[in-house]
Amino acid sequence: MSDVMIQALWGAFLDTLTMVSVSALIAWCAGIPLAVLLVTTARGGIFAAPWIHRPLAWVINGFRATPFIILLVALIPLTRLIVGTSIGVWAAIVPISISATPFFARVVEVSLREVDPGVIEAAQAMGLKPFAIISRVMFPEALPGIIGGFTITLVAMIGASAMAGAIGAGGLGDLAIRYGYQRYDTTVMIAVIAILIAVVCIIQFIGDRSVAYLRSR
Amino acid sequence: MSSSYELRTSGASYDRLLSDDGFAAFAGIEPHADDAVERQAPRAGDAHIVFRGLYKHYHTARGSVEALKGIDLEIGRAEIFGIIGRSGAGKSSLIRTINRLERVSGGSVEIDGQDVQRLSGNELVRLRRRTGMIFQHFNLLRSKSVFENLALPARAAGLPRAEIRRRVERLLALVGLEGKADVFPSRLSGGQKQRVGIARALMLDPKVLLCDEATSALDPETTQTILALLREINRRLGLTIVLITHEMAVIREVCDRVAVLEHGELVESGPVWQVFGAPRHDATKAMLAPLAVRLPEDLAARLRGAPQEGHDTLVLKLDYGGVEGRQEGVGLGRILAALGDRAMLLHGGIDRLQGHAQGSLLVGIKGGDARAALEQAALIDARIEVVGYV
Ligand SMILES: Nc1ncnc2c1ncn2[C@@H]1O[C@H](COP(=O)(O)OP(=O)(O)O)[C@@H](O)[C@H]1O
Ligand SMILES: [Mg+2]
Repeated sequence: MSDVMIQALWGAFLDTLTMVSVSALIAWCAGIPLAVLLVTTARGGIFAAPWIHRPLAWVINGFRATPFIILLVALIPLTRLIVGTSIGVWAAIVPISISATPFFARVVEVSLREVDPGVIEAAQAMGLKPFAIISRVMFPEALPGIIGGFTITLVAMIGASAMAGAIGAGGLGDLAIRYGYQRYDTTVMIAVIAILIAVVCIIQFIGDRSVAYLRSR
Repeated sequence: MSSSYELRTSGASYDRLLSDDGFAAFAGIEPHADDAVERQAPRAGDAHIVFRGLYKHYHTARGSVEALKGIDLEIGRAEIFGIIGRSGAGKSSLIRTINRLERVSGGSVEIDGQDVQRLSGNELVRLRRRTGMIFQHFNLLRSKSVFENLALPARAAGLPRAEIRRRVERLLALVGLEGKADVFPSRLSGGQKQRVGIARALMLDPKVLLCDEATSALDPETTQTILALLREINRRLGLTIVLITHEMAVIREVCDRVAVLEHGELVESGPVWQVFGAPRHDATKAMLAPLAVRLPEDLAARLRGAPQEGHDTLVLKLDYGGVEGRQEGVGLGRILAALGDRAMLLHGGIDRLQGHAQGSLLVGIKGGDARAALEQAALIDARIEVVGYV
């Protein structure tokens, strides 16, 4: 492999890293409040409010049901509005984070729901206010599940970022398509796949380790 | 109780003997009102928690469930009050109205004269901070160390860091868990977890401790140690403890007074020695059955309803307990005087409950004629039941 090629791979890797990490940050920051809203406004939740819960659940399901490749195209006008362009790394972050957030929100929702109702009741009996129950009880108790879910979300986002490459987002996916697919450069294709496998493995390893640590206590 | 005997002699005079009033009338014995011992019952006007005409309905998909139907009850300051009932009787519903984990459907709950239903959000928070609660499954946070579990209510209440540390140390010492501050709950035994639960419930210096089946997930030995701890807390801190359980033995061990719930209704209440010594309601009797004295199996197999060849020993059951004036013990003289030297002690025993002798004795009278024996036996200061002949 030529130096130029290695340089290109390195650049693409950094692009992918940027896309995934910025999107992950957005999914984390938006997904958790959404999940909290879903759980607390559900029937029997601490702020039971069906008129909030139901539309929210519909929107989230709608985004989750839409295939990413369609979302990618459908969100172009929104991406232009936010980033000013529809191509490049920063443009890809919009659809990636918008597709990852509802997914992550559902994962977090499940973890929050799995918190022992008895523990929540104990917190109520101690005189904790709803916000304190969420932040001091539900969140720490659900953390292993949330971390596990975040790992899955991250891996899914790497896949999405590769797909975003197809519409000119840059990154490893873009490289694989331009060299590996369009120019039949198998070496580049294999290198990209190897890098992706390594990244996914590392993420999964760190995620699993964190969950195991949190659960072992 | 009668269910434990297959056969029973019937007859009006015997049935009369089975009830307290009948016996008192028959034997002409008045309970000695003047030597009532000092009890834990609250002095009038010192009620801490008062339920008035309390109703609780749950609305479910399959319709409405009436969990509590008009409960009137007063719990005194610094007493240990037990609420017992079978599963589904409404015990949890009742205790949960005290800190408003459950809203009432009718009637009221008052703590220190304050109607719990009428509290504003902030007042409710204050009430809950003054009311500790412990649970059957401990309900500790798995994600936090013992220290953090204890600190949780105090942090949320805004106590200063140093004060929290001081309280945690003091309470861990109180519950016998010094040195466990940094351990996570998953590393603790059931009994230790409940100790953490108790310590956590005491962090904000409550005046009331609510225990919802707090020992039901523990083995008998651990149950004893937790109950001993609760008693110590009650004595040392002057806490009012409300304890609900389906285990009679738990009530017997620690409670001063007890109320019996059955199908959402309060069917009986009073000092433990009274309710246990002379249960009146069928539900109470049924729950006490495991603790009751039964005819040993070999004798039960030989039991006949009337005297027969080879079955000529009359068996009487003498029940002591539940009446005032038996602080010292059960007089053997009266039994001997009444039944003479034909009397044999078959089974049973006397123990003490809150300073009152109580228990049951099964006595056999060889060649005994029921009617004659009963007339004699009326001299004995016990409730008497004819069991049959062996
Ligand atoms: N949240 C609830 N929704 C519907 N029914 C309930 C609820 N909680 C309790 N019940 C019903 O109320 C009755 C009393 O329950 P509970 O107070 O838990 O009894 P206990 O603690 O004595 O077992 C039961 O019939 C139970 O099924
Ligand atoms: Mg219960």
